[in-house]
Amino acid sequence: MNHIEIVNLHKSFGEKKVLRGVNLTVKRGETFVVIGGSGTGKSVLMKHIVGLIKPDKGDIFVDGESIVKMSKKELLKKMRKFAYVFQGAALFDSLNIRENIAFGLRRFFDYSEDEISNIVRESLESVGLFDVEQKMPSELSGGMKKRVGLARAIALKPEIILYDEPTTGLDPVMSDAISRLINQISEKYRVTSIVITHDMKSAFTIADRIGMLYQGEIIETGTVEEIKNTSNLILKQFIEGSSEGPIQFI
Amino acid sequence: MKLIRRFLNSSIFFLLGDMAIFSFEAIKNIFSPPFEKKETLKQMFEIGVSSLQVVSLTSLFTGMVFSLQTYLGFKKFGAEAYSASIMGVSITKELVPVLVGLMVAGRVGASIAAELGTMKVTEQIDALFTLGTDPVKFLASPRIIAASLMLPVLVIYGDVIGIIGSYIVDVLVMEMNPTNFVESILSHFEVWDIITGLIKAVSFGTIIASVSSYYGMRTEGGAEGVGKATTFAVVTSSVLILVADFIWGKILPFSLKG
Ligand SMILES: Nc1ncnc2c1ncn2[C@@H]1O[C@H](COP(=O)(O)OP(=O)(O)OP(=O)(O)O)[C@@H](O)[C@H]1O
Ligand SMILES: [Mg+2]
Repeated sequence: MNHIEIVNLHKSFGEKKVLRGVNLTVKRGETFVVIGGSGTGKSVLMKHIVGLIKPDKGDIFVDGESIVKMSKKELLKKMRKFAYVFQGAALFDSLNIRENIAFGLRRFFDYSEDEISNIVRESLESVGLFDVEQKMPSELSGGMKKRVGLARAIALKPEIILYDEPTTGLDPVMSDAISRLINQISEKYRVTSIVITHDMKSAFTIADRIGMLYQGEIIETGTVEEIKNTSNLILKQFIEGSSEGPIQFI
Repeated sequence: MKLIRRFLNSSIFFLLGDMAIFSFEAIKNIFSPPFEKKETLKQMFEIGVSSLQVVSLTSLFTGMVFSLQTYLGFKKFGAEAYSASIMGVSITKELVPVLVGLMVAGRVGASIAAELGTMKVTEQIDALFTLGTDPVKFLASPRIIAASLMLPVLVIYGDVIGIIGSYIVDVLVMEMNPTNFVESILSHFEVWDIITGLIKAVSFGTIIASVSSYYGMRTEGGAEGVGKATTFAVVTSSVLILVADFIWGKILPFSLKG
């Protein structure tokens, strides 16, 4: 069954056409990885899924309900099903790490303070962070912030997790550990995940299916095996990380 | 046709319209639960504390310089005994509300726009939304209540300091008789003067917080965008304060006594 369905999505900013008819379906419990060059609109696509950006044309269905047609109030309610890991972590500067993670827990659920403390500690431990609860975001390194962002998302135990480049900026060992964590979460809680990444190693570790965004469209989707053996030259060039091929640099 | 639409879309009318819609939504949200009590109290405290110093200095010196000029001006006609009576009215009705409004626009408006602008460009506002929180209700509404409650408090305080400034000049410098000073001030003074100032203060607070939240939450384009948002917030709130002051001056009666 399709959990998320994106139909013919178009979005321009001024004259710049970013999305030009994206079609994509993600099944319940599946981990779908979106790859694509810098500035191709991956983050813009992801923000459409939670209604942060409204499309010029096209629609998005989650559980068969149109995200585009929902009012702000309905969308905010729907957010309980989602967790979003932002590219730049997006931690609240004015709150310490504990309160950052507790924020969504307080908004969506009725946990006691003790329960919140436990959930905060567990989710921080699962991303390899200890004793940072009382620190402010400005006291953490970029990679640590990124992992707190991840912890804030998984603490909510949502149905759908959207990860915007969860491993970018992490060292290779940490990056692999996070890829494994994403796998664990998706198996343990059967969440539906969409992951944006440039990191092909991570993509091959976590993906059930992979799709490539190129010039505003998803040009090809397939399982890890299919993508590895693709005959599409654009996709091939991207996976091999070569600067020679059909992908043009402008 | 296309040209007209483009003009309307880019023009000041569109901007003011968009701002008005934003403010209306933020103000409407003040009255619907859940109430963000903690955030509101925090903002009230911040606005009060951060503005106290600048309000004290502005009110004191305005009271002093205005008294000086009035005293010397009235002296030309030998009417210096009446100069203090003018002071009571002008301080409470015009000088303190408008100057406090402009100062707070600079102090608080800039900090609201910079804070929310930074939150916007670092995706914190998007994060609020995905955590089930309406950013307008959570960020703008508490700042609007806080500013519209704190501005009258600052204005009352400014009134007192302004009159003290006036006393310093008239009595201590110009050697007016203290009893004459007090009698002169009270002779033409009515409570309505203070109320006029407070009505203005509430509206100025609303203008500052909603305009600055608007620019902050609409920030685009990194650190440069935050700088621009801050400037626009201060300039726009200052201009709107002066416009609103004129409108109040036109619609509120000058005096309630016949
Ligand atoms: N709010 C906006 N206003 C104008 N242009 C925007 C806006 N958001 C994104 N863009 C533009 O849309 C394009 C795609 O941006 P996006 O952030 O989705 O890229 P991306 O694929 O996530 O890149 P990266 O891998 O570097 O994160 C960029 O050219 C960007 O400048
Ligand atoms: Mg991106």
